[in-house]
Amino acid sequence: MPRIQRAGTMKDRRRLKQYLFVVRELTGRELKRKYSRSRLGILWSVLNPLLSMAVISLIFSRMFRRSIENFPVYYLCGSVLWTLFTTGTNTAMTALVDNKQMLIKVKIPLQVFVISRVYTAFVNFVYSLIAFVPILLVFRVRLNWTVLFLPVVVFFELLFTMGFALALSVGYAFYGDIKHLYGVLLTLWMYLSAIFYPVSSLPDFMVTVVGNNPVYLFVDAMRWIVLEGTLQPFTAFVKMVIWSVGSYLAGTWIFRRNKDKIMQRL
Amino acid sequence: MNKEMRKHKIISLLSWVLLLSLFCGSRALADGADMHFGSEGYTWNPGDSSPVGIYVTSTDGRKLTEVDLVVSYDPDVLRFDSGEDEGVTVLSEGKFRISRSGDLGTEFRQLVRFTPLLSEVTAVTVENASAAKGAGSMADLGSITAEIVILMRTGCALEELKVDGKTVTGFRPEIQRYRVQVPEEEERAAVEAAGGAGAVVEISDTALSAGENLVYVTVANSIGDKARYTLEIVRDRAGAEPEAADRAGAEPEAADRAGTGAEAADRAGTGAEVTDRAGAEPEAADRAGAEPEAADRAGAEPDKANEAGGGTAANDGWEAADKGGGARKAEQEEIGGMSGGTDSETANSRKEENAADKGAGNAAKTEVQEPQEFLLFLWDGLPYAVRIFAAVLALMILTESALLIGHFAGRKRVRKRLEGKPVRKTKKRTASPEKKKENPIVIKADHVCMDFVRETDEASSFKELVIRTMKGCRSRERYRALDNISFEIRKGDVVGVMGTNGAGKSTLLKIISGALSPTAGRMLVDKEKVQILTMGTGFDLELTGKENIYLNGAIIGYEKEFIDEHYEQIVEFAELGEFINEKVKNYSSGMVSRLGFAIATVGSAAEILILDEVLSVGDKIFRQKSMDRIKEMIHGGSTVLMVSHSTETIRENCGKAIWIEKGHLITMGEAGDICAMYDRYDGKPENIARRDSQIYKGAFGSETK
Repeated sequence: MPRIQRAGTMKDRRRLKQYLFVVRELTGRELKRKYSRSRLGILWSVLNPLLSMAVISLIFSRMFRRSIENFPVYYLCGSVLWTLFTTGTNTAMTALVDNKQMLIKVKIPLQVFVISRVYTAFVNFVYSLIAFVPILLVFRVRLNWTVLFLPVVVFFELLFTMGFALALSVGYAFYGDIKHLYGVLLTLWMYLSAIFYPVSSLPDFMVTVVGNNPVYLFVDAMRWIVLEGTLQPFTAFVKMVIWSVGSYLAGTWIFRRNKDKIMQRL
Repeated sequence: MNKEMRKHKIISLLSWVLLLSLFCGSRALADGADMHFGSEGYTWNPGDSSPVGIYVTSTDGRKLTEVDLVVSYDPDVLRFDSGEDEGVTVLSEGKFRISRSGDLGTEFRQLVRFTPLLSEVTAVTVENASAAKGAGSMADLGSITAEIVILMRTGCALEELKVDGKTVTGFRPEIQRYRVQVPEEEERAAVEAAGGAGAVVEISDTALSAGENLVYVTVANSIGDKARYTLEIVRDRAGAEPEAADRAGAEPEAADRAGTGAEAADRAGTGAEVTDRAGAEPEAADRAGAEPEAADRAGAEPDKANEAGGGTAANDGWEAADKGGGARKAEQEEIGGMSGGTDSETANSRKEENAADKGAGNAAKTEVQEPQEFLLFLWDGLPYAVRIFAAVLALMILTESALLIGHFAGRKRVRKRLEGKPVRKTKKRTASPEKKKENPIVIKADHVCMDFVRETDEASSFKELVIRTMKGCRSRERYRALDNISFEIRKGDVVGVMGTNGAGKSTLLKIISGALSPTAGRMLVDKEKVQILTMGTGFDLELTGKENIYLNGAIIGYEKEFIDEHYEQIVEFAELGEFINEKVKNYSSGMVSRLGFAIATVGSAAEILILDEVLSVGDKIFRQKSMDRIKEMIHGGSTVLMVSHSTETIRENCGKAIWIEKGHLITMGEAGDICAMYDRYDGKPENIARRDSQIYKGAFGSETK
């Protein structure tokens, strides 16, 4: 394709650089805002998963100790990826409306606002990975070299989140109700993602449902990597890729189609 | 800000180093294979040939190519029946070797059979096990032990067991192993044992040496079935612990066996008790707690089953695990029944059932595998490095395509710009003979129409929307904000845009800035050169002035280096001084608008500057300063569009003016004339047309409406 070759010109490189600069600035703002009133600041990104892990482990680890070998790690794997998805979509949903004033001025595609919110969630996620350090040490979980595959899982989750975020941000620009509706949906979704319980405790039908739930696929992939030191089964990997790429393409399509309408609406 | 960022960077760097060191400090590489028995423990009947399954499973999905291990057992208790099997070599009595190579799949299984000779609690141990995958080196798998309980036939139980005249502590006929302490000086233990009617009791040599001695008591019933009791007689000081510890270290299984002797008895003991144990797993877990290694094994097992699915879909794996779990449970219940019952025949038939169950489990597993076999073959057949490579390749392709999508958007913009250029050139060429020394056209509105689709009382909630759509009465109204607007603005012009509230001025400016695209017609302008400055500046109140300069600058298209370079200039123009590091929420409204203006006009970045009611808020001094700056910019070749209600401002600053009313272009021309006209305006467009159409035919060649 000749187009790709032409893409390497100075102008495109500068545009990409500008794009990254905007994303960085917007993300920096989000982080500063998020922790502007707290003393510990970004440390909360590390503490939060740790504390919730402690609470949930206190309650559930006895309950599931037969089927889950290492409950705190099991839960932590689920919770950090779940948080990445929920904060990513939840914050990105309102990105366009919140930045109304800037939309008029921005010189690059509007997606940048959504992307930067998802990226903010990602930065938080990276911090929350720090929480793994003490936990892995305490529970003597040894990491295998398969951990190098973790970025791939996270990449696909980001892709999936991005698709969702784009679609939601468009929806929210038209109907504020979506925010509330999505909150309810997320609750349901969380229970279907086996964040804190073993899938084996579910009836067959639910196992099928959960097994095809994209968020669960990401979580499960991470558990394979961290707890088992192996990669997830190939079919699960394929499902994961299909979900995330599908979501991303759908999200982008929806966004592209409605871009002009959004500007009119706001 | 920078300091904070640096702190964050350091924190994250440190933690990554920590994480990596954790990774590096771990075992060089998990062996990638795991060895276990088909069951944690076995319960057999004496005289029946019984199987033991030894499994070696690859934990990373790669196929095993070589397995080598040595199995040892107690030849007094068990007779080895599988000496002729493929890959089996008998090394000596009580020891044989299994060595296989070739394509062994991801799970290797070897069944060996033993016939129990007498009733006892014994063990089968696999040692020196190693496995290899592909061209890789052999991985050491360590050793594992399975406990084997051989049930007692009727008439083989001891009724009495005494050492030195005292009944052994805790003696019960079904418990076959005891530990006895004797005084240090005793050289021969006096062991007395008595069986039931017709039983023949045989006692091995009771001479004691220092330390631990094993004395076997063998009981045979009238038909020749045997049971063996073991006495561990310790001739030692009670406090001689180091040695004991040593022994425990050297012979862990023995210690385990001794430690769990009571439990083994439980297992062999009354049915009720055993069933209880099988049912109530927490207890088993407790036992596991006492025996960490076994616990690990037990804990890991469901997942092993998962893996046994050989990389099938997760849920399939789970299913298999479920089945496996079920089978295991059934087996344990079986054990309970068996040990409780005295009828060996029923026990046997049950065992067969059990085996059948297991078989079914396996069958189910393989069935589950089949549909994905092809894909699995592909995936499993690849070496790991290749798999990772494939994944990375896929990743790159995806990124590439994402970039491509992004580029398409960019292309469109570029194309539009390219389209615009020829128009400009041709215009220039045709226009130049008539009007000399005209600057090039930078903004050209070509029959621009803008429609907003508005639903008459709009459905602003989802519920309403659904109801309306269902009723089929989503009445829409097209609201025309701009109607057929055409004009041209040349480089260096300062154009005032006038009109009453709701005339469509802001919409027009948004179209020029590229935020909106017109419903019909074209707006030819290089959007990258446009800077629009509105009343709401889009500052983040929680951030400091400095942070806002960078954020806002980035948004309006400044590069980082550009902002770095002009930062001082911006602060100076905005007259913020020390306030620059304060949060914007503490700024006065004048400061905010000065800052906004400073950012938008800094350098010569803005070739087209659009000011939407910005100047009207500042004080006189600021307005003067702004106008000076604007003049500077015009001198540098910039074009300015200015929206204001005040004819005063327009008259003072603009050379030309556009008047829009209710979406229509009323007229455009010299600023002074338009202002005079606007001042006479009484809110009725039809009056303008009549009164002023003669005077203003439009200096730009546009028609007057």
